[in-house]
Amino acid sequence: CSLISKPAPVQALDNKSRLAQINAINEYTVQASVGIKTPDESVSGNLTWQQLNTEHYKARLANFLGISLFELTNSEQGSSIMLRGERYQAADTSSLLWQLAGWSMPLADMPLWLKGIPGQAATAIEYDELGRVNAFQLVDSTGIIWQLRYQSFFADELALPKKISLISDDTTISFYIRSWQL
Amino acid sequence: QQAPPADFAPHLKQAQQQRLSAPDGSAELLAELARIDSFSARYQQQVFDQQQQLLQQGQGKLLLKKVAQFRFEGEEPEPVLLVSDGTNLWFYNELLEQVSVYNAQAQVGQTAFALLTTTDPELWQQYQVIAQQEVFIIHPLDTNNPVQQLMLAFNENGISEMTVIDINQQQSVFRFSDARLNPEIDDKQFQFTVPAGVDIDDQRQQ
Repeated sequence: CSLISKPAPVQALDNKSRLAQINAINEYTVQASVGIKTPDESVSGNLTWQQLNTEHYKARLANFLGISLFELTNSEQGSSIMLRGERYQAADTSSLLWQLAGWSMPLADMPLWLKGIPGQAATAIEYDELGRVNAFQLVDSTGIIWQLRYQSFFADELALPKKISLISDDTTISFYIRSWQL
Repeated sequence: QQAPPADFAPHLKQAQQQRLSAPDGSAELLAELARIDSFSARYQQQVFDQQQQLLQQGQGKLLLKKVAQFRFEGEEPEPVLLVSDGTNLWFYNELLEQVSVYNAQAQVGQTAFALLTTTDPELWQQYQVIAQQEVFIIHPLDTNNPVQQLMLAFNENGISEMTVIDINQQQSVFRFSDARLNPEIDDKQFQFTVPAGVDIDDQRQQ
């Protein structure tokens, strides 16, 4: 089914069953507008994140011309990045992205935090008035400390994240999720 | 003579040598572009990977006006606006409420659209042009340009199709419809006023 981006507001599930349902979702496609701002560059584009199962995903960030900024795959054959015409294999794609592109994001737990789930590595977890996780800190494989915040959720039962910001000491990444396809 | 830029994409070197021997089509291309003082159209966009798998679709509007003025209004997959008055190039991502502004001159090669609004030989010398039937195949001589190849097709209404091929060999195909050649377009269309509450990322000093 496809969650259109402006569903009618519905009383959110109580949190235990909401989290149980979200945890059970391991196949989804997210379409998001993503902006990455570092001290020396500003990149933005359309992100298509296709989660295939709990672990494996395919992701593509492309600019408005459709030119791919990066592509990520995590499959049985391990994880790889396609950047500027070359494909690189790496266990730790966050560090590789950092070395190649000069910016990165906490990719290891992304399949979880995209859905609003903090994951084991998260600390300083904060909750909103409805008991939903709305912020936490995450240290990624490059050692960068990210402050993650869910600025808004979809106004439906599952209340999956809509606007997410990730801030490190010199980089800001903003996600505006336009749709969830489950 | 400035040292040639480090060749970022060695795997393209051999392909480039063959192309340099092909007959130069720039005169014919510049003749087509000379006909276009202004242009307005809707576009349907499709992005394919090397195996011709459809990766993304999009649509929106394009306005062009000589010299170096263009307005690219993306509606799908996301609302974005790219506007250039020849001096400043504004990029506005509506959902992210972010605006970046660039020096238009410095960005000419990166966005392809600016190229369509000029017949300046000095600029076009940086591109190798091959004419094949009615399609022009354009390669930037600087292999670091993210736009690896541009293909242009024309008809009586101006540009009918533009394809941008990136360094990952993916093709972004723009098909134009409701095209009007040399319509009246007010210069105000190519100016941009930053909406309130939007933070500006000024990339001009670089």
